[in-house]
Amino acid sequence: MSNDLSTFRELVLWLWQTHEKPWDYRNEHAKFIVDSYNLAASSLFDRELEAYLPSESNVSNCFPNNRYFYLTPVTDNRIMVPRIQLKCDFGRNIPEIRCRLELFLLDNNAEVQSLGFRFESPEGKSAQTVGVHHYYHIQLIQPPTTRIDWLPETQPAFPIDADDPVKLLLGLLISLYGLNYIDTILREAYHIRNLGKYISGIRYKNFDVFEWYRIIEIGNPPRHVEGYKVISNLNEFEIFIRGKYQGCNIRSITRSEYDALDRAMRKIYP
Amino acid sequence: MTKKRILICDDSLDIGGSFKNKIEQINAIKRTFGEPILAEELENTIGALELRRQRANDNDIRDYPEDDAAQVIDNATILIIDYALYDLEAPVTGERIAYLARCYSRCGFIVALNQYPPYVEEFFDLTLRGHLESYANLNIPSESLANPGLWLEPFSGFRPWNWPSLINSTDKLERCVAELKGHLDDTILQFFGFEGTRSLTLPRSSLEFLSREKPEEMTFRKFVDSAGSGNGLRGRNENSICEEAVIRIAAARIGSWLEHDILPSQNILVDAPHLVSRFPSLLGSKTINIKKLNATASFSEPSKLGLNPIIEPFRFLRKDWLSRPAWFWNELRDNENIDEVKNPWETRRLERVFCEDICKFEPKDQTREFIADLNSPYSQRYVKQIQGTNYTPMVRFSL
Repeated sequence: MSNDLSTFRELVLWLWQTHEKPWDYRNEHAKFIVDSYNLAASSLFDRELEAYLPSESNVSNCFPNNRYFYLTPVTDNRIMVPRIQLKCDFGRNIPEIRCRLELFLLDNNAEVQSLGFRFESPEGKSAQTVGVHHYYHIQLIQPPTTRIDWLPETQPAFPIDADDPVKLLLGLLISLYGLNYIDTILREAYHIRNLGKYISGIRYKNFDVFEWYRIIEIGNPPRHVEGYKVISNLNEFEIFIRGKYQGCNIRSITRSEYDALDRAMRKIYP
Repeated sequence: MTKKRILICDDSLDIGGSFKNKIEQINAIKRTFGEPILAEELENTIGALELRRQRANDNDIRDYPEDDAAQVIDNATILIIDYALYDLEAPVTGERIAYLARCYSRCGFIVALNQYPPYVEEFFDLTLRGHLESYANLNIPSESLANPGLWLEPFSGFRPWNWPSLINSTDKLERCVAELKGHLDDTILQFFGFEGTRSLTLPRSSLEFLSREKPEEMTFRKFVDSAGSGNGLRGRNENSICEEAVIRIAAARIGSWLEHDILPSQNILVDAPHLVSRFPSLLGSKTINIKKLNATASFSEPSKLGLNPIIEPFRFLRKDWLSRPAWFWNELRDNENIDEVKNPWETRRLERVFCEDICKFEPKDQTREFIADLNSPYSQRYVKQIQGTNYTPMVRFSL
């Protein structure tokens, strides 16, 4: 089995084992959403999921029309019930992945509403065209509960930081559960072959923590007294500076301006 | 078996007599089975069954003996056995007798009493799991014997929906035995129509009962063989008496598998009240008529349940293998002839829920929700909770 295929399959199966099933949702709003439309009836069962995922003997596979993999509800801010449906073909140099992500949520009148997205692999290019969607991308799709005639289903096609099916799936998970979910995967799905390699290739993980650059000016005309690299709480820093230099002006500068200051003037807070 | 009989086995003739008195109060039982019989020479009967087992293992017999003390078991249409048999000299439990009777006699439906806690008093088992490990067809507390709903319809008051109707079950079991003749080498899953995508809905725990290796290849004969599943003949090199014995063991054990393991989850096969709970449109009228709703909780033929006949092609056709009509859920949930499937976002929901303890639909706010111990999306169920009846294990009630 190719690395991409085995890691992709194992990751989906790990998600199945660790995610709440729609009939077992603990969140009351999510339960209400599921009960409102008997969504549990469209859930795959475990042996069905195994059969409909791509495997060594069947590299091209897809879920049946009305079967979905329900994930744990998103509970940050607005409660959402996510479900996905997969169509995969690993018999291609760039594997084909079409993953529908549908979200069910309650509006302000406690009515169930829905949204739909497609997470997709590159769609190919010919000798004549560059291939407008020849990159890993996300598009809007018709929501499951209603039809919106004016919905733009082709563009925008948002690029996603992925160059293989595993990173596409990780991107979907990050979009639902946040970046910290990657740490959960690393901690709990350590047994999945090569997963660490895929995760280390995700650039989302490589952003530095925030630093702000400020210069403190006093008097008229202004005289620079200190430059600061602020690493944590910016509000706390401003209170500290205004206590130290009454009537001072705190101005934002770029990192290169900060680096160009005299060594004696460059300070770090805290 | 020519005459229908109920045989009661207990170590105490007084207690056995009290069971007899209880069931004699129900007229239909006396009409169907005559006066229940007490097994007066129980130790001899058990000894004869053990001897049959021994002789079968030694290939010493090829048919049920016609002259031993176990004949009383052969002649029982319903065998009622108390679990605790402390007053017998032999160290034996009711479950051991159930095993011997199932594997080495022609007995019919086996009812074991007081094997599971809280034992004697009437209780509702919130796990809904049944007891597949038991060789009895049904395990109940002895107090439940006197419940008329256990024997026949109509039901009133406390009456768990997962009980079969005993009077019907005896004939059904014999029809299953007849149906299996000539099919012992059929694969079990195919025989019942669990093929293709249907088979994918069966959880591993259910398949494991059939075989620990290749359930899709398991035949009835191999299932019964002691080297097969471990759920037919038990113990190393245990043999059956004859072909009829293999059939009887297979019919009873696979029947229990369907009734106590496959059906309760309601996501592989679904029965009428659980089906209309999900698809009320199958009852036809726009407004839900409570009488029609409650009429679905019956063991009658589907034509009498008031359901739309469009579901008929999806009926579980081996109808004698279950106590009630059932349908394949996997096909129904995709059938666009059903309103709720065709328009999933416009459907109405029932205000009432099905109460598993009284076989009736009640307004949801007058019921109590529990989570049954089932490997199923439909483990969330409801009871009316009748005063004075024990519901156990209580931890299964939703908070």
